[in-house]
Amino acid sequence: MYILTLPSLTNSARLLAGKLTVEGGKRIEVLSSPQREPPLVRWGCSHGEYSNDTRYNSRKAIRTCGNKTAFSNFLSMTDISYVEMNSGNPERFPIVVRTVLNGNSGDGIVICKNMNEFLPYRKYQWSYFYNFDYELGVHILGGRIEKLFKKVWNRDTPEPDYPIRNMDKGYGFRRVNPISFKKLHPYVQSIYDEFGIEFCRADIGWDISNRCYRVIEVNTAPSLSNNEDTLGTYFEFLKDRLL
Amino acid sequence: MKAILDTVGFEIESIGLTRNEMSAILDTLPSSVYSMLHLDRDASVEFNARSIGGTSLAVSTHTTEYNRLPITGRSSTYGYELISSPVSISTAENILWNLLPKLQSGGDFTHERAAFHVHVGFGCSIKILKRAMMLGLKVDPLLFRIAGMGRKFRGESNHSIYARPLSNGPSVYHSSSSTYYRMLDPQKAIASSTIREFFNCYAISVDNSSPVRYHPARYFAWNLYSLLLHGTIEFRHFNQTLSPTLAISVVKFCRALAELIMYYDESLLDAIPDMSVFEKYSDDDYIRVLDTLIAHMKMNDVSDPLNAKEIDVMYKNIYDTPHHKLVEHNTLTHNRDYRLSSEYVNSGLFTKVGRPSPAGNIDIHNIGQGRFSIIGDE
Repeated sequence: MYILTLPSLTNSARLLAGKLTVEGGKRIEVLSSPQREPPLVRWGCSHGEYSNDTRYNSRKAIRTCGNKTAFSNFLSMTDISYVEMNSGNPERFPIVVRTVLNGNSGDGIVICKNMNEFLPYRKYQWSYFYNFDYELGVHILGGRIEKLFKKVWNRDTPEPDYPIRNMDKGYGFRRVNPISFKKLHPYVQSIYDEFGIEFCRADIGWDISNRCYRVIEVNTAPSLSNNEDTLGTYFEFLKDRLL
Repeated sequence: MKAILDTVGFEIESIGLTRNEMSAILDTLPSSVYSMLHLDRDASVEFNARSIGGTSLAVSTHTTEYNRLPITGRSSTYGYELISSPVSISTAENILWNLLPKLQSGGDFTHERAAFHVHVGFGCSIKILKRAMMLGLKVDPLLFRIAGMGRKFRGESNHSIYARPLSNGPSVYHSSSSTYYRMLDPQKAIASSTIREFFNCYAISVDNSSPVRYHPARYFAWNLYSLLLHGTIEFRHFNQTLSPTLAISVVKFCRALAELIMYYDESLLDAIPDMSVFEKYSDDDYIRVLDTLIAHMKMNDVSDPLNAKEIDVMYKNIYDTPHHKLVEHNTLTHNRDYRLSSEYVNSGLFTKVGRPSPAGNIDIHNIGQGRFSIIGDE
């Protein structure tokens, strides 16, 4: 039995495999190339095709979530509000240019506040900048919100005018109670219904202008190395279903 | 995950067997195959025939020869349409591998009136429609190039009226002004900002509770109206084929093309030159387009990609198929009773055209007026 992942995502996969091996009682390996048998879990890796593939998570869901163009195009066919990727000339500014479409931690993000700033990036896809009231990191397991974090500014300096809320840019996570976010539950349920994705961490912002949540991205290989408790949550969820 | 791109479907038209004969063949197939197929009729491939002296040789009653032959027996209607359920690629392969050899051994044959249509399950949004239109304009010339499936393209006989290119839709009549207009200006469709605006370019109102089935909008080879009708993108380019390898390669290619709609970026559109369906290019030019598409399918890791053998089949199809002789002129829709409403004329979405040529399509209702070979291709 093995967890299939990408070389760049092995840290969290190894932690999970170790816990499943020690506490679950079955030896689980971490591999980055598909084997003859389907993997037990796909950790952000869509390689290899099997007729009896694991649904934790499906290859198709991982591929769609891992490509911002496909993710945006997929969501355009649903009723889920989202941050739409565009190409061509924007009608207004600021915009968020993505020079990398399958990156993590804000890789390749550039904010353009006017056409002059945009011109060097015309060939890239972009999204309009949403002034989110707040952003959440939502661990969704089996369609339920299992853990919820609010992204908070961690530095002494004033928060930027156009924040990109990730750890590299000075943000941290503060655990919050899901009960306080009533509209989030049906919204998360709709993401689960459309994607059928069994575990992920979704970045979701509250668009105060339109009074709705918008999904920014869905990570099918969430980091488990920063928080032992989160690792435990994923372990319990997968252990009950797979071992 | 939502069932987008999970399923394909196909329609096989043929004039070679009666529906009773076809039904008997279906009975011999494994139930896993049989249960996925629905036998139907289609006027565009039907004709009546009588047997000569009790033998199995049938002669069309729509020919002049018929009157000179000592023919007895009851008249039978030949021609059928076989429609698959939505199935996975692997099930589609299983069906085609089982079915097509049986058809061939059962006396079926290919003919220029008959087509092979492919559907790919898809969702609909204005973003997807615009991306599909942009890709369709680039890919249509290649698909028309291979549409003959190794033989003369059936659209040469009827101005491809059942499968028009996106760049040259059928002409439709506006009674009040006694004027003809072309259905669909692709650039105006691409400039739309809502699904309603997009389908207005096809003279379709999405507000109708159920879309009209037989509408000129349906008869584009790269058929996006099918998204409203069936939740699929339909590829209507292809001639009928009895070759399982060719049919499967084409189905997989269409499915991968549909998946590219989700994934492609500008570099794909930039990499495919602007070609016209009505111009003749070298085989190498079409091969380059095919190679570009296959490279992008690989780069985007599409599901069920064509394997090396199937890619070879696609190359061979380009080399084997004679270049079609489609001519760029206005062609009247075969929906003869259709009238464009003044609402659409006044919208400015439709371009006025000169008096169009009739399509020259043959169906059971007008077959006696046309040239028609009795058995097989010319």
